[in-house]
This record gives sequence, C-alpha cells and structure tokens, in this order.
Amino acid sequence: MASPDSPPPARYHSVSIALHWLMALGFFLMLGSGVVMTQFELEKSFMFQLYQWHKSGGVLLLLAFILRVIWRLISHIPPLPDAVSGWERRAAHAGHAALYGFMLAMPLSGWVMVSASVFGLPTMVFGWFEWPHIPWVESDKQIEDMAHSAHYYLAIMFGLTIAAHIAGTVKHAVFEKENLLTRMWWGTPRQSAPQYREESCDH
Amino acid sequence: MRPLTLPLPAFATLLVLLVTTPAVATDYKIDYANSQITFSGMHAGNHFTGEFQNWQAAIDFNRDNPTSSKVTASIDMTSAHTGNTTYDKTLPKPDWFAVNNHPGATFTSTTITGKGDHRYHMDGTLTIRGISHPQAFDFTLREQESGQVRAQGEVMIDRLAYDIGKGSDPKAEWVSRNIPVTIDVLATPTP
Repeated sequence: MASPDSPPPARYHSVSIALHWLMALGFFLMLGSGVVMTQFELEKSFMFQLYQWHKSGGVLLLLAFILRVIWRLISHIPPLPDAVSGWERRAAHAGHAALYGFMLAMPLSGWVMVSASVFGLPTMVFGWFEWPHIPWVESDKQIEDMAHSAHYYLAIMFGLTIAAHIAGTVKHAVFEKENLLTRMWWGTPRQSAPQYREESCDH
Repeated sequence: MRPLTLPLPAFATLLVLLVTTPAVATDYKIDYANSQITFSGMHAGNHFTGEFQNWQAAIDFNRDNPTSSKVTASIDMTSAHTGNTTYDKTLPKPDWFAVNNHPGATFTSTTITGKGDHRYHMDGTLTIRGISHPQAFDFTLREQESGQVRAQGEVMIDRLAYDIGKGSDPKAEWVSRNIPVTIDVLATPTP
C-alpha cells in the first residue's frame, strides 16, 4: 500500500503487467484448445498432441498463478479512479477475485482429472519434466468424471467472467472516456496525479 | 558252440531301439544376450516398438520328437521398454500391465508338433495380468554354425483378451488391439 507521503501508483508494476498478459494469452490458448479437443473430430495423433500441450500449459499456468499471487500480495496495487462508483468498485473487486478463483480452480480440476484417469498417462510438461499426479485418486472413474464436469463448467464460467472483465474496460472507455488499460500497460508513469485517492486495500 | 541267437521278436525290438533316436528331450541353455522378446503397435497414429528386457525360459526340447518337449517362460512385465518416456511410464499402470499386482507373465507349453522344414507349432497357456488363455506359437528352429539353435516366431496377442487397456481404450481407438510379439531365441543344447 502507498504511504501517505508518496502518491499511489497509476498503473500496476511491470511484473504484474507481464504476468497479466502472459497468463491472459495462456488462458486464451487453454480455452481455445479445450474447446477444439472436446468439440471437434480430430485426427488422432493431433488430438493426442493437443491434449499433451493443454496439460503442459495447465501446469505452467498453475505455477505462474502461484507466482502471481505472491507478487500481488507484496506489490503496490493502483487504486481505481475516483470516477469508478461504489457498486462498480465492488463489482470490479468481486470480478478480479472470481478470476483468481478460476485461475486456480481450472488447473486444479484438470490435475485431479489426469490423476484419476484410468488411462494412466503421465503429465509430461512439454517433454521437460514430469508433473506428479495426486496419488490417492489413481484410477478412480467417479472422481475423474466429477473433475471433468467441474473443469468443463468452470471453463464456461471463467470464459464468461473474462468477457465481463473485458466488457468493463470497454464500458468505461466508451461511456466514461476512461482508458483503464493504462493501468495494465507500460507508458503510464508509476506515480500518479492527485485525482487518484488512496485506498487502503485495493484489490 | 552254438552262436548266441536271439529270438526274432527280441532281435527286432533291439534293432528298432538302436536305430531310432532316443525319446529323451534335451535341455537348452539360452543365450539371453543374443535373444529377445519384442512387441510393437500403433498409438494415436504413431508406431512404437518395445522389448521385454528381463525374462527367463526353460526349454526342454526334442527336435525329432517334439511331443515330448516342454517350454516354460516367465516375463518380467516391469522390464517392458519402448524408449518413449510417456509409454514407459504408462505401461506399468493398473489398466495396462498392472505390474503392482501382476509383475510377471508366464507361458507354459502343452504340445509341440513338427510341421517339417524347420517349422514347429506350439500350443500352450499364456497368463498375463492373472488372465490365462490358450495361446499358440508358430516358430522356426534352425541350427547355427556355432552349434547353437535359433528359434524365431511371431504371434499376435489380442491385448483386450487380457484386459490390457480395457478401461482406457476398449474400442482400440488409441492403441492397436492386436499386438505382434516376436520371439528370437538363441540357445545351446546341453548334452
């Protein structure tokens, strides 16, 4: 949190920005590959390869999520502009919390699914290392099915939340002429102008 | 003095015994370094090959009277090796070779018949994952210059008959159903 003497930041830290966009790209590819591999009839060797990439990406995004949470807790968060009203403020915070929830729940449900899968294929992360499976759910079809449903429905809700997240920035740009993207890109100075009031726990 | 003469039936029997080869089978000592049991198949459009690196067999064989022969083999299923990390980590799992419960597969011959021209047909029982089925092997047996013999044969194993991949891939959409297994054994007859 910013001290009373120094003005609060107008944008997120570079590390936050990098993590945000890299993970956004990652999740876009994950949702895309997830749709393709379950909804389309694919040639078997490509299908198998797509599954391995999808699982590999999931592991890396889980690790990135852990880094992101740690970084979030120790870095300075730019407060929302004054123009953003009470209910919108609460909606933004709730939306971000939900996105963090999905970022964790998606790879976790996927992890349970591969661990419980009867197929027994190991999770080789892009051929670099093996990601261990959760041992006590091995070859459990019931748990695999439950994790599969969770992974599927969470993906839909994640997609919708991302859409709302993007819609929020579009709404502010169009209706309030407020370009919120400056908070999540380089170019804006870290130190802000006085119109941003400090908030004690802006999440 | 009257020369020793045998009654005709006794003489005939002795003659027959002398000219026919003995019905006793010979033990063969296997040259494991130059023998192999390999398998192959297709997975998701990708051809793979593998071998069982650890197995034992006892061969008690009479080439001229194969019906008195006996072959038993035990294969260490944990020794299956394809060279592909993903496959090698998957094969031991419960739906595939289930090595935790069934570390070994066995084969015991019941009859062996000669087909002429170095060819033999062997019937027996194959047990994989605790499931037994009659399994026939056709093989050729050729003597090498070294005095060793080489037995070679190929057999198709229906993996689903042994519940291999039954839960994961019962319709063989990913892994081929019929798995060719080749036997190539070099052995020395022990006198």
